[in-house]
Amino acid sequence: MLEIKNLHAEVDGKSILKGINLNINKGEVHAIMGPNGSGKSTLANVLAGRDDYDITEGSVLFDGKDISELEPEERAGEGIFLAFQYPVEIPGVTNTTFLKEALNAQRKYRGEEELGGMEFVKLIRSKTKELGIKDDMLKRAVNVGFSGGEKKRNDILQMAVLNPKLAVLDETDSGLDIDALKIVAEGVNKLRAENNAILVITHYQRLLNYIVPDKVHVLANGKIQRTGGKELALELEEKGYADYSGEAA
Amino acid sequence: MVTLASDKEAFIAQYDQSKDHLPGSDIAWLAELRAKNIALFEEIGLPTGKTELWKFTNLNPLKKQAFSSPSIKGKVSANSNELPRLLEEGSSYRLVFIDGHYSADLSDDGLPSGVSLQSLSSVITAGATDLEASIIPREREEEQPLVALNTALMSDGYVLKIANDVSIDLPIEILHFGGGKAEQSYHNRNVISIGSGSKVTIIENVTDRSDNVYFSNSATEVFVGENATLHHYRIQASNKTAFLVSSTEAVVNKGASYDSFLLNTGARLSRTETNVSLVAENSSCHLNGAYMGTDDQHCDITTRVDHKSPHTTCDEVIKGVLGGKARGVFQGKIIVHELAQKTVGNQSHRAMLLSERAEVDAKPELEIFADDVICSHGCTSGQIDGEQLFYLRSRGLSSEQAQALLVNAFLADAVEAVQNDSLKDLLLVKIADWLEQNPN
Amino acid sequence: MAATQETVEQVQNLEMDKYKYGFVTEIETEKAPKGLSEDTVRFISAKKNEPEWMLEWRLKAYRLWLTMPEPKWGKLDLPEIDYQDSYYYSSPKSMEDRPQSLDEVDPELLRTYEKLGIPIKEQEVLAGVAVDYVFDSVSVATTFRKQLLDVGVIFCPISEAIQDYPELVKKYMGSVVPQGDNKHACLNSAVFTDGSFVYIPKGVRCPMELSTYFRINELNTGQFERTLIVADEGSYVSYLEGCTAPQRDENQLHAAVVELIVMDDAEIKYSTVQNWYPGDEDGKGGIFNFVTKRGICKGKNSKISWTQVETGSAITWKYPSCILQGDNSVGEFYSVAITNGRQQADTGTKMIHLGKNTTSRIISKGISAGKSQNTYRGLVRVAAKADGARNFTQCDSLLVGQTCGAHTVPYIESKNRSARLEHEATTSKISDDQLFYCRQRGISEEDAVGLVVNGFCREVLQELPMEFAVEAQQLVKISLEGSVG
Repeated sequence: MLEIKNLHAEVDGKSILKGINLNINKGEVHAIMGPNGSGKSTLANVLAGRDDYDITEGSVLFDGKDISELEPEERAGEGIFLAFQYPVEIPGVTNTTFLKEALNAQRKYRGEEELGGMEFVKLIRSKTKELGIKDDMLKRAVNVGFSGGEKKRNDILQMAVLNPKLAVLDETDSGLDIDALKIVAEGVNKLRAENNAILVITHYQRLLNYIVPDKVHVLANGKIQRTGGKELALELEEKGYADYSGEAA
Repeated sequence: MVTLASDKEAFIAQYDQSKDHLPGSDIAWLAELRAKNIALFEEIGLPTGKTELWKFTNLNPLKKQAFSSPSIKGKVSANSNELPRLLEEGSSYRLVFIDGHYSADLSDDGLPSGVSLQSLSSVITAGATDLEASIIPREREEEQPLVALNTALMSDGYVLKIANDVSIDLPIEILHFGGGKAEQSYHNRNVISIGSGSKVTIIENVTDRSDNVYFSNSATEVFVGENATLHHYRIQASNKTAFLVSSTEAVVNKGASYDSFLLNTGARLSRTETNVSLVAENSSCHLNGAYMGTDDQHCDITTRVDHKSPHTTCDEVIKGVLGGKARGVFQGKIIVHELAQKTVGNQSHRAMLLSERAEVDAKPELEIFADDVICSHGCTSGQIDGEQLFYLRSRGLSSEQAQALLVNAFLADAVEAVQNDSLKDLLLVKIADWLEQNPN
Repeated sequence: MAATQETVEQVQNLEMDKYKYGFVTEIETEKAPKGLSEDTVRFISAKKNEPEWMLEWRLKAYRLWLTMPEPKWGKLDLPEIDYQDSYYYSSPKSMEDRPQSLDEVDPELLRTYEKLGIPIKEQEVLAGVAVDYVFDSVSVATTFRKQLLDVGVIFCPISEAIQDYPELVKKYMGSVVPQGDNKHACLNSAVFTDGSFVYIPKGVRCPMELSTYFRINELNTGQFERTLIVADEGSYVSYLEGCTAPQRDENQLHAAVVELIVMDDAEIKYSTVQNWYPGDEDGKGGIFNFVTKRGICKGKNSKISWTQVETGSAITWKYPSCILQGDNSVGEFYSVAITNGRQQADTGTKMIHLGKNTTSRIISKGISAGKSQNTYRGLVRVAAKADGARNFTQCDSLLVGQTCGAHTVPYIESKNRSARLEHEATTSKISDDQLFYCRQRGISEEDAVGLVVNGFCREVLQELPMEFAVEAQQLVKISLEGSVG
């Protein structure tokens, strides 16, 4: 589903990703782990198409389509969802309005019919119920006044409603206590399905206790240094990144 | 003696009378500069209620008062024992002005190398070399009639030049000691130029020895070189009959910082104007202050910060407490010019009214022509919090004690921004003293 | 970026549709001779069959106007106005004899309003809104008048009020905005042509929203309407006004006066959605919108609430204000002002606290885009006797684009220690993070701007009556088209 070939990227003229190769198939969960400054978040932002994150070499194919020239909203329409390390606050815009705008924009992009008010409400109700999120959260402005945990859960709700093909979780565990972490992981696990894939980006292994990956990659110095199964995460937890940081530091 | 009111004509007459005796009357460019400025002053006249920049400050009390022509050669006489010192002897370099005139005898010597400090009159007597470049027409000179008057009549002041990469540990304390005679007026002109990478603290102490009425109309040109820091503090604690008008124009260069604090408790009428231009990247300024007024005092603090370059920062925290029939005025303008992206500008003015007849007027202003900025201002006016007062009284404090404590806390907050610890303590003492002397 | 280029092109193509009210109605009109003189004033007065006292009042204003200077204090780049190059009266011919019922209204006029999205026919009108339709200089129709009269509410064109309720008009007209208040208000006093008059009797809660819809149609015609609303003791009314004009290359003058008088325990809620033609991208054409709006809370516990959404006009100059005379009276000002292209807006409010325990609240949201200039200018004044007065002001400006300006000029004056005044202002750029977040969720950049800006304005928009809120949200979005990228 996602094929990254020899990806080089720079931010503000500074080279960060230096030849990444990665394949993710439908139904798989991959984890990318690495020390601070290894380029993990850059990869997430490059996939989502953020301004100032420029691909200098290589390609990113999504369902066989080169997405590197697509605008962020077009990539979203293709089915890429980024759960933010720091979800953004948008004062005055309620979650309901935001979700409806986003969902219908994506449906329109895909040539599907936009959802009417009632259908939308039905959909969103079913998702909040499924995730155990209180309805009053929907009436609040996007992430405004939310605790760290609430913000992450809100991102998970968006993911559930938008139902992406590929979800990229960028350091979703940062700033969460263990209870919040479990709840978020539970939400993610509910969304695991045969037809979609998940890419978990994290510094720590603990999140992977709850979202169990099929494959773990170690990213350091802008390159994937090693790939293994879920046991690799445990090894990293024990030994740290010292083996990989020599070149990066 | 016939008392003439100080209208525009009176000041022009003063100029006509004294122009041939003013320092540098034989220096062509200077005489020309004076003539040009008195013409400018004649054209715009003294500010009135219709002058937007003086909207809240009425100069009528000044205009009703007669002042003699500025004295050319000061007969400087004072007992050095009666001269106040802000900081203990040996912990500052003190420079003394008596009734507007520099006194070399009373000033400390032994300034560190790299520091050149001369009186304006001696610089002029020595041929006024370099002065022409320092006293150039200000931007918007047509909005500053009193600066024009100063330029026409300036007779003394100081010229402080700091070489590059000089850090002076002890502050330079400048005493402006006035009130020697009644009805005097001084138009001092000062130049402060700080070389690249240098670091200096200047404390100006404006005070006097009597309750004689006098008019001090000073102007100061400040230039802060690259990566230099100037801490410029001013304490105005003159008697309540004085008229103190001052205007400081600072140009701050790349990576440099202009940090000022004003404590104003004195004067019948004071107007302290500070204009800062942040002309290059990473320049910054702090314009902080506290003012207290009582009786019929009028205190006007007017600031303007021009962000002319990207990545520039300004911070302003001003607090005021007013009792009696006092009136406080705060005007603060932050202008972000078109190219000044990534500007951060924050300003706050908070006033507390202690009496029924006190008044405060504020005009915080943002003028923004660049998009990538974060600017804010906050402005409040109110009285002491009744809940807090009651709380303290319920713990056994008298109403007066409780009030003093709360007012003190309110003002002390503004002093927090001052970096020099001994000066910070000094300011806190001044505030406490004022509260003791003025139980509202 | 390729997509940006595309957006720009799309917007350029859309340009003609962007101001969807820009069409002209071909309709035969009767006009006063061009220019302004005592004769013009007499002509207007005669056309309206006005009593002698009204003509005298107008002439007095005209003579005063000749002596008054243009107000210069706005932060506006204002061309010299040639007052002789304008028509001061234009009326659809079909209005010679005012239609007695809607069936008699010129079908062309009906169609015009339908095109504007506001059908006149009562059965099609949004339930519960009575509307006065003002076309150039005259009121062409007023709906639901009879139903309103049944409960004692007078809602009619002011030209009729002068005939039918002269005592009320005499008593209140000019009592809040005196003729000599400013040059534009003075001009209005001399040449006002129509507008609405509302009187809500004691204890009556007006059963429906009242609304006036203003349309400038004729070329070179100024519109000078005058609105007077009196809310007697214990009454309540919510009043809305909307404005549009055709797209023309010439600047047109709109100088209106609105006066509100509120007695004990009464309340007026006054909402405006101003969408006059703003001129084209290069600043050609557009309405000069010079409006003097002021209300007085005469009685105790009275309340005035101004809500405005200002998106149109080449130049907007207006400061809806409250004089809080009655004890415990309340003044509110909620404003959204959006400028794009080369528009200029200088708008804000004055809250004058005279009575005890008076409260005011100011929420202003300014959005500048394109090459526009947007200024908030406001005054909060607390008089010495206004014990316990309270003001809260929040002024936020949002910048969209690098070549616009956003300015905040508040005046805060307190002569009373027990008054509590709080003013806060912020200016910042529309956040890249917010835009990226929206786009990552699939929302296009332009829609994201619309969404974020609507969120920014929400506090104000939610003050609008329901029927207007939706329209206003759309307007906010449309007004910013072409401002990103």
